[in-house]
Amino acid sequence: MTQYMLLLHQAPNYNADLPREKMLEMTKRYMAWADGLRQKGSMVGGEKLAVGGVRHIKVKDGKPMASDGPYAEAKDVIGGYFVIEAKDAAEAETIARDCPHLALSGTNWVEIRPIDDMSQARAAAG
Amino acid sequence: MSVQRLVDSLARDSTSRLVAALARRLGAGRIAIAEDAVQHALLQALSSWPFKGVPDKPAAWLAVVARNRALDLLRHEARNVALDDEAFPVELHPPASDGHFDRELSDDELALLFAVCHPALSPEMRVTFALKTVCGLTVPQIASGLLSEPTAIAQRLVRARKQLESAGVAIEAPPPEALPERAESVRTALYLMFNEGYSASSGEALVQPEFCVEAVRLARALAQHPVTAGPASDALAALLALTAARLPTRVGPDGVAQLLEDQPRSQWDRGLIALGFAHLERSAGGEELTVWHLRAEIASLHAVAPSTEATDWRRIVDVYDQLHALDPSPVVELARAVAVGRAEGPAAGLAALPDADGNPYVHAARGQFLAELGRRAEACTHLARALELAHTTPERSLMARRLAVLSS
Repeated sequence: MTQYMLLLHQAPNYNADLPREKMLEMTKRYMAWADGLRQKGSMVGGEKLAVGGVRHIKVKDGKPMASDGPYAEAKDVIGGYFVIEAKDAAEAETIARDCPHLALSGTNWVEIRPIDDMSQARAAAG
Repeated sequence: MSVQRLVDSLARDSTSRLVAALARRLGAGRIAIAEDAVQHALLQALSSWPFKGVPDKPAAWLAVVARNRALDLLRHEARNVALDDEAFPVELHPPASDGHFDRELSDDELALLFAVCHPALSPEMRVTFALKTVCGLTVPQIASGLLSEPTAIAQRLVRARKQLESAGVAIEAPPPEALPERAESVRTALYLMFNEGYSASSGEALVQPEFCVEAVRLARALAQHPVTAGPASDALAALLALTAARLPTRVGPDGVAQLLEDQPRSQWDRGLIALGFAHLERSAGGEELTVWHLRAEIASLHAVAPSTEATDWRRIVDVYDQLHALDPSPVVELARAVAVGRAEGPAAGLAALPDADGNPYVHAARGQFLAELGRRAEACTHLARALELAHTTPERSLMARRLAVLSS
C-alpha cells in the first residue's frame, strides 16, 4: 500500500459567499465521500487550510526573508489536502476522481502526489 | 447516524439551543452576536469536519467554537462582559440556583425573556420569538406547541425580526414599569417550554427534564419578583411544579410511556407537590380567574388523588369546561373528553372526543374507549393509527404494547 496526498486546488475565495443551503449540501457530499474512505480504511487524514495568514519564507542574499503569501492576482491556491492509502496509482486516481471538490466548481482540480516511502532506503542504509 | 442526518440535525437542533444558551449568557441586546457566533461555528464545522472527521461530541464542539467566536465579537466591539468558562460551561446544564430579585430583574434569563416579549410584537410573535431565542426550542417544536405549521412559525420569526428592526427596537432588559404588560407572554412561553420538556414533540425521549426544570425555576422567579408576582404568576408556578412532580413516572423502567393510571404515585416528587400547593394557595388572592388557575386546579386534583379511580373526575370535567370557555383548543377538548369518559363511562367519553385525524392522542383515547366498550376491531384500528402517528419512541412502544394486548 502506498500513501498519496490529494492537494485540492481552487480559485481563491471561490466559496466565500455560498448560501447556507449550498454549504450544507457541499458538506454532506464531502462527509459522505470522506466517511466512505474512512470506513474502508483508505483515509489517513486531512486538513482544511485557512484562507488568510499565508507567509512565504525565501532565502535572499543568504538570509531567510518572509513575505505575504499568495498575491491578490493569484489564480490558484491550495484549499486543503487529504492523505489516502491506495494499492497503486490507478486506485488513487479512482478515489481522487470521486472527490466532491471537483464537482463544486469548474476551476477546482486535484493534484495526486505519491508520498515517498523511505522504508526501503532506510533498510538499505542499515 | 448517517452523515446526511447528522448534518441536518446539527443545523436544525443544535443551533437553536446554542443561540439561546449563548444569548442568556451574553444578556439582552446581544442576541445578534449569539446568532452570528453560532452561525460561524456551524460553518466551521461544515468546512472542517469533512477533513478531520466528526468529533466525538459534535454539540460540545459547536458550543466551544461558538463561545470563542462570541468572545472575539465582543472584544471586537470593545465591550466588557464577564464571559469566562465558569459563566458559560461547555456542557449546557441549566443553573441550579434560584434567582434573587430587586425591582430590576437580576435573573438574566428572566430579563431576556421580558426583553424579547416586546410590545412592538403581537402576543403570538412574542411567544414564538421567546421560545426560539431564549428557551431554545426548534421551529418544529414551537409549531407543535402552538398547534401551527413549521413554515408558518419560520415566517413569523422572520416577520418578528423585521418588525423589531423597522421599529428601531433595541432588545434590552426592560425597566420595572414595562414588566406587567409583558408578563402574560412570558407566562405563555414558560408554559410551552415546560410542555415540550414534559411531552416531547418528537424523538427518542418522551421527557426532556432540563426544559421542565428550567421552566419551573423561571416561573418561581416570576412569582417571587415584586413587580411580576401576583395570582397569575403563582398559578403558573403551581401548575408547573405540580405537573413536574409526575415527571419521574412518565416513562417506566423499561422505557415505555406509562398511562396516568399505571404510574406509581408513590414516586411522584413530594417536594414539588408541596411547592405547587404553596403557590396555589398564594394564587387564590386575586379577583381574576386565569387559564393558569384552571390548569393548576386540574393538576392539583391529580396530585391529591390516591389513584385514578379515586380522582374527582366530575370536578375535572367542570374545570375543563371553564378552561374551554376561556381558551378553546383541540387539546383542551381531548383532555375534557378523557375526563368525561372517566366520570360518566366510555360511551360518554367517546361522544365527547373531538375529530382530529392527525392527532395520535385522540386516536389513542378513541381506541381506549372502544376497547372498554368491547368494540375490539375498531379499537385496534385506532390504536394502530395512534402507533403510526406517535411522536416519540416511548409512546410508540406503549401503543404497540396496547395493540398487542388487545389483539391477542
